[in-house]
This record gives sequence, structure tokens and C-alpha cells, in this order.
Amino acid sequence: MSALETEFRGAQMKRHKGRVDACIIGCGAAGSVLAKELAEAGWRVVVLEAGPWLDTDRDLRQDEVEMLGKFDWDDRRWVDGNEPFAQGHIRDGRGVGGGTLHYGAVALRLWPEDFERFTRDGVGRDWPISYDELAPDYDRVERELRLSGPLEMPWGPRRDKYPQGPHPLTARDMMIASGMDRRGMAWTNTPLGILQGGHEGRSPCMNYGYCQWGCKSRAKASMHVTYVPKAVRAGAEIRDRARVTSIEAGADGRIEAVICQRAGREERIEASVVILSAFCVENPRLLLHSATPAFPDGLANSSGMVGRGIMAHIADPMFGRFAEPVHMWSTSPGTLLSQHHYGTQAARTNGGRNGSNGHNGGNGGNGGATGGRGTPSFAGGWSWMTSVLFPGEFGGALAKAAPSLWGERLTTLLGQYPYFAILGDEGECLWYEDNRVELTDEVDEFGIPRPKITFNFGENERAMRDEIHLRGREILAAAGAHEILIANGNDHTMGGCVMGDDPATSVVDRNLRAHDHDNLYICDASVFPSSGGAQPSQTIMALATRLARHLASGEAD
Amino acid sequence: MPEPRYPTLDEFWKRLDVRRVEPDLRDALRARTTREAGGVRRVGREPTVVAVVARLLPGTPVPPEALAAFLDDTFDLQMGKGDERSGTMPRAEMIPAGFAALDAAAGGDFAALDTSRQDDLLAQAERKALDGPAGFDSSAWFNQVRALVLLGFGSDPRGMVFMGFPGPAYQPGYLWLGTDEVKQRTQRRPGHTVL
Repeated sequence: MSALETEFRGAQMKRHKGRVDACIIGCGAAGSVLAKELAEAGWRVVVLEAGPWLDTDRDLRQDEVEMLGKFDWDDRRWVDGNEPFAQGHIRDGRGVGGGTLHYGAVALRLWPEDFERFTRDGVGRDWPISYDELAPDYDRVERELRLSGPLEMPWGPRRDKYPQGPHPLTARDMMIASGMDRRGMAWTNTPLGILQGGHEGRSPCMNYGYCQWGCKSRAKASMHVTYVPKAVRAGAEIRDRARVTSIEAGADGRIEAVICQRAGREERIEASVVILSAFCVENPRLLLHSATPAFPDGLANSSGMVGRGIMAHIADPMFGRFAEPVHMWSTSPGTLLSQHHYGTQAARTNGGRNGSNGHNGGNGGNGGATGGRGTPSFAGGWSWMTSVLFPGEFGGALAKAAPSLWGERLTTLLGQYPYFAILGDEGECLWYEDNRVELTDEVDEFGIPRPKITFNFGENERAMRDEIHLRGREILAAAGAHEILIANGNDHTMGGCVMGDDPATSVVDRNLRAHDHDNLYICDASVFPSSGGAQPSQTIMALATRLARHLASGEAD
Repeated sequence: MPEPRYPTLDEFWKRLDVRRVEPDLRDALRARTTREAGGVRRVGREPTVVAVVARLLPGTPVPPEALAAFLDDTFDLQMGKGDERSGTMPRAEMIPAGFAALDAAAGGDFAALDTSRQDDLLAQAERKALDGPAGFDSSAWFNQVRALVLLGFGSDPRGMVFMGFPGPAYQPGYLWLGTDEVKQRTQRRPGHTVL
């Protein structure tokens, strides 16, 4: 076994007894960052993680079936609504590292306009903080993870150079980039949390391609090989397989303890500060389940907003079949990026359905809904990137892309797998109050009610989806694809514990403290008031860095 | 451009040795190619399950009996999938219910129908028009079964070889990346394609 991950799990990891300074629930993108930053600031930290502490060498395999369920939160959850909200693999992670065990490590920031969706477009919500307030924390995370990226990003806010150079483009990327060129779109190498050179004992990327099934080279910045070892080295204790069953609150609103089940025994952890980082479904679930006579509607829920505002990204895989093999599997998933269509663009006056190309002069994201070019037909935008599906998932995803795709035609298409490239997209979904997590009457083995997630696309999402499909077909056709198939889908989860300045309409404040509880914080994508059109992991880590900085400074006292 | 040649199953196994794939994964991959007739015990009547698989994915090197056995092994496992549609029966109940519903619609034996009638019934199921017990949704059933069959196919080395996929990458990884390099790899010389 690797020293990097396991030297800390035995005698070298500190065991805290009695009351601690911080108890963090969830050891993913937020919890791991918080543990490291707070422990390095001298805090006594215990992290409770429901899943196992996997070891790269011993536990990870480059195989879809072997890995399915190994680090996925695949407990039964009921879903409802007009947009199927798949749960399990590539949604919530379970294990030390959380969702970063499976993430593709696409390392994008939100844009300033994403923090002002309501102010700019009159829809969705604003963040109570600005991009500029979060920018130093994005910087810190990017340095810590040694992100790789292009020399210059053609879009978005100005930023310093990435710590490492870009990953190479592959055949599939070059094919799709040629289509973008012909459509007048800028593209670049995607910023990735994947090493290009060795760093802190970790290997550079070996192009195994299995990033989303667990990285075998440790090049990917999964928390279990980056922040977690440093957290433990600084004195944090990570308790894996610790399933939190409730949070205890006194009548005065102070959080008194966290209760968890571990190895068949109940543990009670008292902490000065409790930070909930169990992600967008489990955070509301725990808060609602932890209701007391003083808080009959659940903790942190005087606003009634706990569980509300669940968001995803429109993520419709576009399959382009080319005349030459492109071997999509030959490196990490998202190596080619275009944010040409990011953000609200005034030129979208008719969804592009009359032949207008919808471009607004080169780069995307013009940062405004108006500007003299009419009212856009939808707010927000999306990122493009190439993608990978390995053989087991490829067939299932492809089959959803056309009606009645089975039989001989499906067999034929599977035989053409090496000729397929996938153009992926991450489109913004707005915050809607009725997209929510609720408790059902059915309980799990820990006696916790199972959640039901209701998720609907609104007009904005449907209009954006139409436009994404139109533009995607144009790109793939311009790249020379002989056949184009598009499946509907969505990915990532955000929202459920929204942040805001008004206690009547939000769960946590601008510093992520629950309005109703002085010593309860919530930190992960559940606090997002808008989703942007980019992967959420960097923003989660930046928020966690900001919260740790805030707590360690003593400002919260 | 000449048609590229991808490795045979024998070459696939040899490459696994060269790549130092973990013994347990190598064993698991081999075990997937040994599923055979008689492997359907729980999900439905074996002739029905095999016939359905054969219509969903005909003419591949992975025998329908093997994929039917995979389906039987996995239909009630979470397998990284946590969502269940509100108002419908759980997946683990839905999948057997669907095979029983097909048999019922076929007058008792789906496998005894000619293939065009089998296809009609499967199309009916896909359209959500196949009757079943309360909470049964035949369209959801169809999608669940097809997804499992395709997962079984794509994770079986015979299926991987059919799809031109070289299997798990280990050191030094897939180092040939660009368009020209992919061309070189697939055109290297007849009988000796290294991916």
C-alpha cells in the first residue's frame, strides 16, 4: 500500500477524545479542505465520513463493473419531476475524498456574472458575496492543487497563469476543435486538477483515462491524495464509515453534538463548531431529520428553505461518429474546453432557430442580458468540453440518444465505438423553490427517512437545451461527423441549503453560518444560489477555503 | 483509409499480462467470459430472458445466455445507481415483473414467438404500453434491462474486443494521443496492432 495515503491511518493519525473545536460531516471537496485548513490553524478537528477510506493501489481498479458502487452514494432515493435526476455514480461520492474520487477534475471558476443572476437577468437568485470576494480563495486552491491549464484563458475573469502547463489534446479533441474553428469559436485546453508533472510524491498523469472510476496514478487531485494527508499531518482525525444519524440542538439553538453510527456503535461528538458538508441531498435530509420540539420543521429551517432550490447542469452527451477512429478513451475526460456560449448572451433573441448563428463577436459571455440586441430567450449559458464513456456506459448512454435504438442498429453502432467522439456540455439551471429534497415515510437501515428529490426543468432550461442541441450539431457537423446522436441528461447537484443575507429566504448567511444556529455552518455546493455553467468543485473548495479563513481568524466569535 | 484492425481476444489477454493488470481484475475479466446457459435463476424464465437479450443486442460475440446471466446476477444490486422513480415499483421488483409481463402478453412463452412478434412486444414495452402489476412501468423496465445488458456487454472482454476497446490501461498508459498517432496505431501492420 502507498505510504502517501495510509501512513496516516494507523498510529500516526491523532485520535481526539472529548470535545473538539470542529466536527465536520463529510470528507469531500469541502470537508477535506476545511479539515486541512483548520487543523493547520491549530484547531482540533474530527471529520466524519460515511464511506470507506480507499487506498489507490489496493482498492481502485480500471474497470467499470469492479468500481460501480465502491465510492458512490447509491442508497435508494426516490425521484420525481419532469427531468430524471439520476442518483449514484457521478453524483454524490461516498468515501474519504467524496465526489472528488469520481470527478473528472475539470477545474473551472464561476464567472462574476454568475454571482448576480437575478440582478442581471431578473431570474434565479444572486449570491450574497461577489466573485471578487471569492477570487483569493480560488487562487489558493489552484496553487494548492497545482492545476494544469492553458497559458491564457480566452474567457472569464482575468487570472494568473496556471501552476502547470496544459494537458495535450487528443485525436477526439482535435477533431472537435476543428469543428469549433469552422464555427468561429474559441477553444483551449481545459484547466484540470490533474498533474502534468510530479508534485508532493504524486505521479504526473499517465493518460489512463479512468479518472471517473478512481485515478490509479494519483495525478488527479482527489482529496484523499491531496488535502486529506495534509489534514491528518496537521492533526485532524478522519473517521471513515461513520454514518451521521442526527445533529443535536439545544433549545437555545446551539448545536450540542453530532451522533453517528460506526462499526455498529453509536458515537456522540461534541464540538464548538459543527460544519455540515454532506452535500446537497444528505445535508437537507439530516437537518430535516434532526427536528426537535424547539425546531419542529428541522434545524436551520425557520425560513422553510432547507431542501429547496436543488439544481443540476444540463448535460446532454452529443455523440459524433467520424470517418476515422478517435479513441475517445485515451486520456482524461474533459481535455478540450470552449466557453464561447457561457453566460447570458443578448444575441439569443430567438434561440437560434431561424438560422442566426447566435454568436456575439468571438468570445462568449457578454455579461449582460441586454445591450441593445434584444431580450435573450433564456438566461445563463454553458461550457463545452470533450468527454469519455467507457464501453459499459457508452452503450447505455448512446441508446438513450435515439428512439428505439436496439437490435441490429445498436449492435452496429457499438462496433463503431472507436470512431465516436463525445461533445459534452454543462448548462446552467436556475434556482427554483419547488425543486427540492423532502423526507419520505420509508426509512433506511439507520432509521433515517429516505429522501425524495423533485426536479423539473423550467422554460429557461428547455430553451437552453434546444440551443445547446442546435449548436452542438453545428459543431459536430462542421468537424465532419457522419452521424450525430444526442441524449438528454443532467449532472452535478447543487442547492438545497441556499446562502443569503435574508434569514427569511435563506438557510445560511454570507459566511455560511446557519441563520438559526450560532455554531452550525454548511459548506459545499448545497449553498449555491446559482449553478453557473461549469463544474462546481473549484467553487466548493474555494468556499471551504474562505470559511476556514473566516473561522480561523476568530471573526466568527 | 484502410479499415483499422483491432486486437483479437487472445491478444487482449496477452496485453493484460504485459500491462501488469492486478491479478484479481484479470480473474474478474476472465470470469465474465465464462458465464453460460443455466445462469438465469431469479429474474425470470431463462428462455424468456435469453430471447429478450438476443433481440436487444443480436449478432455479437457475447452469447445472449452470458448477458442473461449477467442480468440475473446484477438486477437487484445497487451497482452505483441510487434513484428509483417515485410512484413506480423499485427496480429490483420491476425487472422480474417485466419478464413475467412479457410472458403473459405472449400467451405464456415469449421465447416461443417468432422474432418479429417478439420485437413487437418489446416495442410495446418501450412505448410504456405493456401491462403489468400496480407500479409497473414498461418503458422504465425496458430502459433498465437494456442498460444492464449493455453494461454486461461492454464489461465482457469479448464485448470490449468487439468494440475495439483495448481494456484497462496501465503503465505506461495510453501514450499515443494525436490523430496521426491513432492512425499509425491502427494501421501499423496487418496482424500486429498494438493499442
